[in-house]
Amino acid sequence: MKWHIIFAAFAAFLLVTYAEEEEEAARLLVSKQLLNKYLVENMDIVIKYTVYNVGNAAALEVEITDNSFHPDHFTHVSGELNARIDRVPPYTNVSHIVVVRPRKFGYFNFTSAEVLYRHKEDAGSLQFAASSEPGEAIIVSFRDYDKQFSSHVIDWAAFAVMTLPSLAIPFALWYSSKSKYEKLLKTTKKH
Amino acid sequence: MKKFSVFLLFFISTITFTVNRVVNYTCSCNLCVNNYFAFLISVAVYAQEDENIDDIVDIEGEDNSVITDEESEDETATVSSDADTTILFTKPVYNRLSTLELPAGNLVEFLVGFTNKGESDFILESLDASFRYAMDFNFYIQNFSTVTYNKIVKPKHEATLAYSFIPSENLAGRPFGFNINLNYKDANGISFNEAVYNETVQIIELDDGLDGETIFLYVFLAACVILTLVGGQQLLSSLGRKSRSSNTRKTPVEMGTSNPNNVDYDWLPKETLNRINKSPRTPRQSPRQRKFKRTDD
Amino acid sequence: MMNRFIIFSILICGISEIFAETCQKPEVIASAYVTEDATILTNVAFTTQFVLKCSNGVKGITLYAEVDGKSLPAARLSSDNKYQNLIKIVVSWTEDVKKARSGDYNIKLYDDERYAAIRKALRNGEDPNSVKPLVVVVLNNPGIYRGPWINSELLAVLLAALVSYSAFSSKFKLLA
Repeated sequence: MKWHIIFAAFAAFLLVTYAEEEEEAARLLVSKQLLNKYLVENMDIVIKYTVYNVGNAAALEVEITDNSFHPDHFTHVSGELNARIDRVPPYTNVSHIVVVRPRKFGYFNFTSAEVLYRHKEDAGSLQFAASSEPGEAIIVSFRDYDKQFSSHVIDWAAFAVMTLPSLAIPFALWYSSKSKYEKLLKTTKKH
Repeated sequence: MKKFSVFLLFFISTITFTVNRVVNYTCSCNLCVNNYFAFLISVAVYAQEDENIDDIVDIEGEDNSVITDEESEDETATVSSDADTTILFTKPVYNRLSTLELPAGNLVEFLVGFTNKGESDFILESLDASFRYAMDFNFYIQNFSTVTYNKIVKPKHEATLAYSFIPSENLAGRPFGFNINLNYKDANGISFNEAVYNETVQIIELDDGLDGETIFLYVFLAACVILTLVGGQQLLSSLGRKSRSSNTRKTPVEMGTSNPNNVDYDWLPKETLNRINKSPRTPRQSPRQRKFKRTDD
Repeated sequence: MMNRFIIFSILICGISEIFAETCQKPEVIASAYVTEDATILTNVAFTTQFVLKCSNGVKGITLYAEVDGKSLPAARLSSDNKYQNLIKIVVSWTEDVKKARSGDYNIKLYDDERYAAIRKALRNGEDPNSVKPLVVVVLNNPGIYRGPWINSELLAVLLAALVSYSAFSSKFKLLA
């Protein structure tokens, strides 16, 4: 209810200021981006939806809906896949972030999100806009990722253990002879 | 992960300790060289294996095409009256007042908006961008790959397309004609080709100075050089000392009063020599110490 | 019957809107998520979810958020109608992996009035901090993981260098 009052006031303001312009409406460009270097199974994927208003009026009731993340393929971690931003002023941008984790690896086609908005305050129907598509990307399996990016602690440990005998056996021999010699030295010293 | 690295540190420090002691011994025997080289070589091989980590697919689909000089095909921009397009550069941010400046060698991103005002579907087929000679737009300088979208836009709907590219670094400092073409067709199969952007842009060179990585690299290289120099110097000095010491050993040493009988002690082991020196009968010992020793006995 | 009910509810809604436009005694339940493992990310994402409860049952207010001087929109959940007297909002932003700091982030929520006051203060060159936010929520970023701070390969090479140095030094000591 209060919305309408605000919107009406804003529209009136706009009408006064932009009276000479023939058409005024919000025009949204919506980008959907993945902010990842690599997509890895069971690791976070950050999706950023940015709504740019290039029109000369405020876009109202901008509702971002993304149905492309099927629960069978993705676990939803944080953020909302269905969010509403009340107002996007003209010549500004607004972003919204969602974090998901893929359940499976392999190729996945990231398709567009849907945005519904009112491009004028008195618009009868909602305008439908599709966001840009990140496109097809490969989701790497966690094993492959780990193989290449883990610190290989276990591998190095195994390597150390393997090299140990060749170092430890001569050392033990030397140590025994040394201690024997030292004992001998001590006994000779006492005499 | 952090836990692991801590564990690694602990583990490695213990290994270093044992290995140190072991090598002390092994190097005095003949076995050491083999052993030691095997260790070094296996480390090197292992490290080499680990460095092949570049085969992961980059998800950002930018492309660097080579500079091509070719004559254009027929340039017929046809626009449907039911279509409305807009363009917005999102990286770098562009205020529409001055000429667009694109940083050479950096990622440039833009969005193309398409509105279907008609009554039938449109299919957005592809988007391509190219740099052209500013004087003659038919002369291509750098072509960027055509990205195929095949996106259907229903009547009264809007769609956004994203495109990104990197201008070639050797184009910096000059103005170029920049052309972005959108290819789409309507439900009847009639193809349209609209120049969404066709203006002169300036390619600028971003001098972000020396970044930390290169500085660090130089520091590291300098450190390596210094380390090798120090190591070499030490090696040379120790070799020199060795030869000198063998020389000095050969030359007859003035023994003074400590060696009145002119006995050659050279053949004796060091420990024995020390013991002889420490023995109370040597005249070199101070009387105080002798007294002490006597009381001890 | 149904019609009457709808009218009644609209009336109630309208009355409440008119009489109580600001949220009084806000109670907030916040949950947040920060992508801490930044080895595969280019940007660190901060997402926070608030459930705001006003003692006077206000629902239709616009909220604005501010973090580190950046103003952010508070996105509402489309399905928030079913929660009675609760306002569910999401505030999210990203920061570059290199620039993201660890520590506490103060998320300040403002309603329409206060937000207007802030903008007025900014216009007049006054201190915008004089405007008291509706709610302040502190989000703690424990620090993001950028991968091991030393490469295992590098460590192995350093180890080998150390071993070789100690070995050669002791060898020369013995021979000298």
